[in-house]
Amino acid sequence: MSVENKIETLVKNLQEKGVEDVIATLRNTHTVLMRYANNEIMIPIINKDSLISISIGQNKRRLITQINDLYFEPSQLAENLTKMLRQLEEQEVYVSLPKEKFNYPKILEPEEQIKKAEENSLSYVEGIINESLSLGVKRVAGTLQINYLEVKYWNSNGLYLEDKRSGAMLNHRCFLDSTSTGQWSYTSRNLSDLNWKLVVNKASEICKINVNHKKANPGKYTVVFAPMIFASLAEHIAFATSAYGVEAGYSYFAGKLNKQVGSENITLIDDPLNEKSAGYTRFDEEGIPTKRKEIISKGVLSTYLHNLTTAKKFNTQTTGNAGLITPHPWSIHVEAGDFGEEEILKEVKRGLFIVNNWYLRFQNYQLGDFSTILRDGIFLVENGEIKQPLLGARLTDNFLNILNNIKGLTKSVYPIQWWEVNTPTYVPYALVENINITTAE
Amino acid sequence: MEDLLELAVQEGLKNGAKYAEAKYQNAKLVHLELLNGKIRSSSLNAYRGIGVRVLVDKSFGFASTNVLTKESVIECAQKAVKMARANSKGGVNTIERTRAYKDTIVVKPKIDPVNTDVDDIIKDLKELDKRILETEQRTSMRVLGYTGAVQERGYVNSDGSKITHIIPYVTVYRFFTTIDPQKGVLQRMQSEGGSSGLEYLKELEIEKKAIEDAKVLGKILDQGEKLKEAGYYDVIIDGEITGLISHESCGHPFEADRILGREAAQGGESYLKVDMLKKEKIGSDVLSICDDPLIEKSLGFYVYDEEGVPARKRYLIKNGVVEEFLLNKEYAAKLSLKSNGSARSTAYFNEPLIRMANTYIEPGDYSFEELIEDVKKGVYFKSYMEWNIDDRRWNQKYGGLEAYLIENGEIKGLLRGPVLEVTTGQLYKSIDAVGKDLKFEAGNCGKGEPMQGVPVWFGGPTVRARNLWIK
Repeated sequence: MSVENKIETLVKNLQEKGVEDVIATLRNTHTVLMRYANNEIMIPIINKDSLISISIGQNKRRLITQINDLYFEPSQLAENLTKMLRQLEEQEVYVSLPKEKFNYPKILEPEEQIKKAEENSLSYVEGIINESLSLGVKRVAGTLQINYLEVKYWNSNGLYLEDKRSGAMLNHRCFLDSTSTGQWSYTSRNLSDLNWKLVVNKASEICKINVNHKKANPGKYTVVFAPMIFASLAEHIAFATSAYGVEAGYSYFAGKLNKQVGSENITLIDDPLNEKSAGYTRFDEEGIPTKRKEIISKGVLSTYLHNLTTAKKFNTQTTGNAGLITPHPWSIHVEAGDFGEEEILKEVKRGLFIVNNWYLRFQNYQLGDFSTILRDGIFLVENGEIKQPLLGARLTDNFLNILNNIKGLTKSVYPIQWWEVNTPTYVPYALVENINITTAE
Repeated sequence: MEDLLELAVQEGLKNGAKYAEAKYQNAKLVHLELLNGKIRSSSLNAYRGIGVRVLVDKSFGFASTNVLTKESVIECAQKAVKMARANSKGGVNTIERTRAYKDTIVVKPKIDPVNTDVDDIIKDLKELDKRILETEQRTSMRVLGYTGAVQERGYVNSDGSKITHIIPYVTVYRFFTTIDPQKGVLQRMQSEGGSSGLEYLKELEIEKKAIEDAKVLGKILDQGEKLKEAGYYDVIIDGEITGLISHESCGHPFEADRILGREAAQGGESYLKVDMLKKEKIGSDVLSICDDPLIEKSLGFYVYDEEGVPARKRYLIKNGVVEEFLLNKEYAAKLSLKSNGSARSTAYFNEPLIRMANTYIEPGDYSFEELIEDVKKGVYFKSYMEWNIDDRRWNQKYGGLEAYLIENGEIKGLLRGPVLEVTTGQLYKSIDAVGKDLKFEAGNCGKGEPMQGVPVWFGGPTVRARNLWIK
């Protein structure tokens, strides 16, 4: 019996045992990962995997299961799951799967290059390393990751869906010495759209001017955030709109729906239908069609991200953002502004240009108080020009303060995805005033 | 399963690898989460698969599969070899060859943390939620979660090692938000856990700790005052924070792969250089920091690492001096040293990396009273919320949650939100006394790409550091 037939049997077996709502999803993934450091590929990694996710609901009780054992016995698994389901308590809010028929966005076939990643990714990375070294940096490190994912979905209302998802992600860091660094990343649905030359150029340009540092001084600054750090901030903002976090104290957006939470310059969008994005997705974990939505519209919080259950709790409709447990964004986009890249720096009389960050941690999720370490280029800007490179600075601020102080964005937008930014995130450079910088004494 | 691992290793060798290893993981997990006493998510998960790593000439290759048939495992080993060979022209990798070990380690739980009556766990969590709310009614958002797991890990390598670990894990986490319309909002996030059965949760005194947290959040809201003046203070730091310090600013920078640049694009590098080993004094005489995988019931417990090397306690810093790096066989060979058993991975589909297990500051002999008795002007950090550290592990920050002013050897009022932002060098050299009250915290350590989280403990006693800038 094929795994697909077994899943169909499992759905039937569960229904025969009285389970009202069943969702079963099969994901077949193929990942090729090239890790490089010290100008060499350290290890090529190939993962082939299959994962079955099952969500069952009965008498207001719900249980979620993930297994990757393709040799499961459907009737035994149905027995085990229903046994545990019976031990659970009723959920405060329970929503049955909708019976209505939806129209779904189209399936996009990933390009052949993605499917042949095992064959071509080694030489691809060698090209990246060689190009970087030719630009005068001493050392490079990074990751090229190429994913191909087939998704099959069944539910107890007889719905069957398929999707094909793919992604190519490059993260590249250049070094002249241990503190003179530059970093950039790129993400796309297809390998042919991955602009690795841009990544190499940006990272090496930053690296080469990030020398002869002085210690940063604490204080309030006007800052131009490069896309690397602004993507990290935008991803945190987008995740803070997940209704699951809002109801549990993880979000500074609680109680702020339809209120002004930022300056008019900020419009934040979740767009799972961007055909260039590795976040392109036809349907969510509940089988609901995905859709483009403005989360923040000119500074106004226009929606939380919902699944069926959180939508009912908040007396609204699902936004098609169901994950296995929590609603989440698929592809994050900050709408571009009017500034050119040189022009936006000219707005800064005395401030900072900050390239990248990592380790963002909250002192208080409910208030939005956090700090994050700045890295890969912190530059003092005077009269619109990059001057002194700095070290040892930390952004210690509040997300609502940052949102409210966005004064301008560039026309150019960059797709970012790396260690600190898990979701494909498209952002411009951002001019933000009144940013608090701290340092160790 | 050992047969399949052996098959993968032999297939690797047959295809030209000079070293091959295969690992098997079978993980079962149950997870429950309550919000304000009501269940909001419950899951039962099971993952299993095989990963194969080979060294061909001077290049590694790694491949994994969840299809546990002979054909699939052979294909997996062949892919690992093929990728390694394709990369072999510029290879720089090598590996220490070690003697063979054959062993099976089984930690038997009294109560299975996965195959158990979840309704009893839910009942206990609901009761705990009720007690928390009774203790402090302003704790208006309360997340309580339980994760139980059993991990079976098999390992075979071409040097003849065959090792199996079967280890249970239990963890309970809590996240409280205490809101007072006039006095503000405070939050506390904490977890407790170990490698044992469900019965271990009683030893961890979770109820006592959670209720104390709720009380303290209320007290800080009512009584906590901002530090009147930023300045240099003597600082008393509780084991909750010294444990984190030992993990973040000692454990990570002592990972040899970081020191030599392998993690440069993700987790970053280190303030250490290879030539500092056994020479450089980076802390005071009273500061010694260890990492020990052999602590029973700890989250970082293992007896052999994921390259088949026996685990042992490692002194990273001894009396202030750089004593030993954390090493796997790859980096031991590069540095002409011996592996000290630090290779770990999250799952069968991840390569093994140099990881910590249970990192802690060695206790001294001071009582708490002795630590504070000659502090004229100080701050006592008892717990924290926010923290972070730069990618060379030098510039770190701890945002205090429960913290007190100390004046003339006495604990005075509660402070609200004092911050210690300091370099590793300043901090380690300023420690002049170490308490005897060693304790451990549960953690999940992240590293690598894709991100690999491994369970760890980090710990320490209360320490005294002189003259640090607090704001």
